[in-house]
Amino acid sequence: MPPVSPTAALGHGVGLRRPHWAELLQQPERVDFVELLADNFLGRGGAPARMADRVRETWPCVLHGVALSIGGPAPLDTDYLDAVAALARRTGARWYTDHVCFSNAFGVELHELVPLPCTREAVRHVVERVKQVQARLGPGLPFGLENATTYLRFPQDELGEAEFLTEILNGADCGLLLDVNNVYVNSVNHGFDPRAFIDALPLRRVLQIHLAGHEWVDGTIIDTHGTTMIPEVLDLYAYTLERTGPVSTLVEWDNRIPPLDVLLAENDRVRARAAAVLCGGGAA
Amino acid sequence: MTLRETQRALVACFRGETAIETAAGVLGVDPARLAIYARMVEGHVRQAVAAMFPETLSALDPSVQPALDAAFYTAHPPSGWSLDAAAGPFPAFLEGYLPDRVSETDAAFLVELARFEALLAEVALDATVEAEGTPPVGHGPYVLNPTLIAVEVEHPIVEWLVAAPRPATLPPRGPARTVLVFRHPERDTACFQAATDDLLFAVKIAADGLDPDDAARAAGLPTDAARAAMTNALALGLVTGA
Repeated sequence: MPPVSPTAALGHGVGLRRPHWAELLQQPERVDFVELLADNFLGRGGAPARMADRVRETWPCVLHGVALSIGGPAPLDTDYLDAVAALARRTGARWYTDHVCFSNAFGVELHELVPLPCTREAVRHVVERVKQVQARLGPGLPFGLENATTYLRFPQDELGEAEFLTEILNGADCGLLLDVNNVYVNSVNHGFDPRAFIDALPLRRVLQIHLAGHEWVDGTIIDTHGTTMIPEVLDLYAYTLERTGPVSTLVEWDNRIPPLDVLLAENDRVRARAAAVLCGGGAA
Repeated sequence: MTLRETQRALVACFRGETAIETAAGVLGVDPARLAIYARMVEGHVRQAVAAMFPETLSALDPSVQPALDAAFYTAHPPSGWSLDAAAGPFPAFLEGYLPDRVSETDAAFLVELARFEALLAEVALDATVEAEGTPPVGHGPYVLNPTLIAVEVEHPIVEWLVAAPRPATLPPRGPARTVLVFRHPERDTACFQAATDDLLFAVKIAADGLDPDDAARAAGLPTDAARAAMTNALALGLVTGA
């Protein structure tokens, strides 16, 4: 029997947030895998350390981060990467992802996913740094990048966002965490066709999919992760799955975190939609 | 613009060194969209402070807080990825910020309360015990909670925190008192207790590996009192059974 790929599809999971820890441990069968926001666990003892151990015993898990600053000007923080690798060993994480953005520059930590201009200079910069990340983490922990929500477009952009991502992913030989909600949000905020965007991506590199809710604020869609997802996002997910086949899919909910049942119902809604697509139901 | 020039202009804007409209003009971007990021960047620090210092903020005059948030963000730009670390300088910042804005009595209390809340956060997440595999303290029937620390405070912090309802005014300095701060061994929450004689006695029994009855006799106390102290300390999570 061939070995199982470390990046094989894990099914349907949720981002594990503290208000749900205890309750989800009581009904572990409700999700196929969980994603830990690595930054909430790194270097921490107490409850996070204990939960990391419980996760390893209970579910397949993946790590996601927000602080790598892969497009930043400062040298990569190797202490941070080593801490991520240690957390991956502790939890048995299958892979680790962060965002195409920068979050730290000139000695200031922004704690925000600030977009990069879609230029060839930025592609070269990110590709080089992804290779550094991969070398530091080693082959046992695959690394992927997520397409971030971007509220800005820069006049010096030389590439469309899909082309920008594709050049980075191919140049660095790197996995894609495809956030379908982010594609939708950006398509509305910047006025492009989200399905054409999906078609333009190197879908063979999709490691995982993210789904979440968003909200309109003053004429812009903000990626709040604070509500249920709209049908258009689920439709785009179905459209994507028709082209990728089964992919580990995760529901994120980070603001105004609801009771666990609401989150799990959202996950079940996604699972049902995926089953319909993959069993022949097709995209809407 | 190069990537580096773009990033420098963005950071200058988010740090408030360049006005949104000016930065948007330099970058050639929509100022309303740029403002979204500026708000979010500052908002993360504000949320980190709110998460670490809920009691301090609840005790502040609400009119003081908005300007305080902005002043803290300006004075202490985060330099590391940890949001806990971003909030860390808040007590020291209050020490310089509050005296001109609230009474001396209130400022002194709020600064000490903030330091206490920072300590609670540190104890809740401290990784020393896990990292070092700290051996349990005590070799008798009880083991001292390895996260326990004793701190001295100049204000009635514990009394104020547990009061319901809270008094309308903040208390003045009083005699120094000792507070026991520790992480609950099962719930993993940061806990605190005024260091009463009973609790200190229980801590000594666990730390020195004593038999409670022997310790009571040596101290000239009824054995029932020693046992009751240990039962209470066990229930609080100050000590565990060996």
